[in-house]
Amino acid sequence: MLLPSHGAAAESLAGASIGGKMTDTQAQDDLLLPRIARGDAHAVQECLERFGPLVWSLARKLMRDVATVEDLVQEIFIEVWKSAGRYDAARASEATFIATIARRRVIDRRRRISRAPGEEVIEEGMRGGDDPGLEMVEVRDEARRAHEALERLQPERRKVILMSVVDGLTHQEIATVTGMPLGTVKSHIRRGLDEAAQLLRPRRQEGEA
Amino acid sequence: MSRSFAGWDEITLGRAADLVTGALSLEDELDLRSTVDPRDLEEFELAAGELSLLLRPEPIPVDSVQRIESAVRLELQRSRKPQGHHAAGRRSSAGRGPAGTVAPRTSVTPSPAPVTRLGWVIALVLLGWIVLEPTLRSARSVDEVLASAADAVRAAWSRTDDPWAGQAAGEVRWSDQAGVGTMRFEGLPVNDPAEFQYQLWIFDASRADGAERPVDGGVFDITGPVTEVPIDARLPVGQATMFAITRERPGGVVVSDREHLLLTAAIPAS
Repeated sequence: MLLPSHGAAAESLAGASIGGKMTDTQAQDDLLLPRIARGDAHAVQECLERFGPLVWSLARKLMRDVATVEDLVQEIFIEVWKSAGRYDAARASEATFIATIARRRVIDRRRRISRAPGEEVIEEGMRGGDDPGLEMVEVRDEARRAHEALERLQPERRKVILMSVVDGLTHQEIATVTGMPLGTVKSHIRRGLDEAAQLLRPRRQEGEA
Repeated sequence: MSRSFAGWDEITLGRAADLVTGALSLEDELDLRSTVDPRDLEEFELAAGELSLLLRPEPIPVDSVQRIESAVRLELQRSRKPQGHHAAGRRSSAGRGPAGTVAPRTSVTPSPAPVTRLGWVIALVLLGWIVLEPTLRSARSVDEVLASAADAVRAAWSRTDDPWAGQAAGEVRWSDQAGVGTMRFEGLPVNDPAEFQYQLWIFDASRADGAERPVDGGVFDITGPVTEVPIDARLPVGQATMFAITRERPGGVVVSDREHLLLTAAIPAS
């Protein structure tokens, strides 16, 4: 099984979307990005401690070259600093906001360099959510929503999404690893992301500007 | 789920999926960002960002943490320095394009005529204020305008793989309502205006042909390691979604072949 199941996921299966952004998982007065936006110098270390492992892991997975990763993580945190002022807690958790910035930066960088096919083999059951001791509170809570969304996808689709979005494999690499035709991989990614986005980001679907 | 995210068609959905999984070319990304509602695309990117949280975080090596923290602190200190420390970008006044129309606005100081009677003084002061007030108002610094503009946004430059981009970094600040902005470049190679110039393009989602024909933002020169360049697009820009810098022949071009697309900056959705 790719993803361990848990009670919260089962409860949410009846709903049309997965509720609760950051407000039920992260207290308003615990928010770091507004402090960063106000120029709180002490927030540098705190931000790195809280979100550094997430950003580092994301860059490592998608880039796989330690020398590049360190430079990239610097770049991402500088970008986080510059973008902190536009963070809206009603739209996303801080972890999601930072992960999204990180993804953009990593993808930009990856586009600039040709990346060798991945040496790593996907290990099923390696994803977060089953070992709270190794994860930060913010990330663990946020990962639960993503976990629940993925559990609703067809198994093949879920597997491909994990390989692509979480493990950073290229579409071709996924086709090679799974034996699926490239077109099928692309279709699973397209449909899987569509479904996951509708579950995780339902408000604009309902006409809310 | 029969309806796709944001009501996108299959092609748009496929391109958005390619974007967030790193499978979309920069050129196609430019087109995509110009054709969809940026808020929808940002929501889609946030969904992918949230899925990324399933990744098991691993600790950063200690020496890497220290280097990263030092680098971030250094950058933050540097970015807090007053703008006057930076070289001002040179807007070209020669050649075609909007360059001649986008020179930085300058303040005009009146030379008061010698008058002796109080009534004339008052009249002249009033007249002078009426005549000069718009000029003085327009002479507000771009920083002041952006500081007071509710819709002001900023976005970091992303380099393409074009070697002419060098190690360029920096950011763009922009307000649709005010129609002004500034660009900051760090590490973009200094150019000889007789050899080539840099040209700004603004992708405007409010235009029907915004994806195919970005607004010409004029040519400019890089004069030092850190250069600030004001933006003053010749045509009105209703909803800027992306800024792009190309390397062009002196004077710029009407339509870029994008042979040397160096930098892009996507404006975050509001």
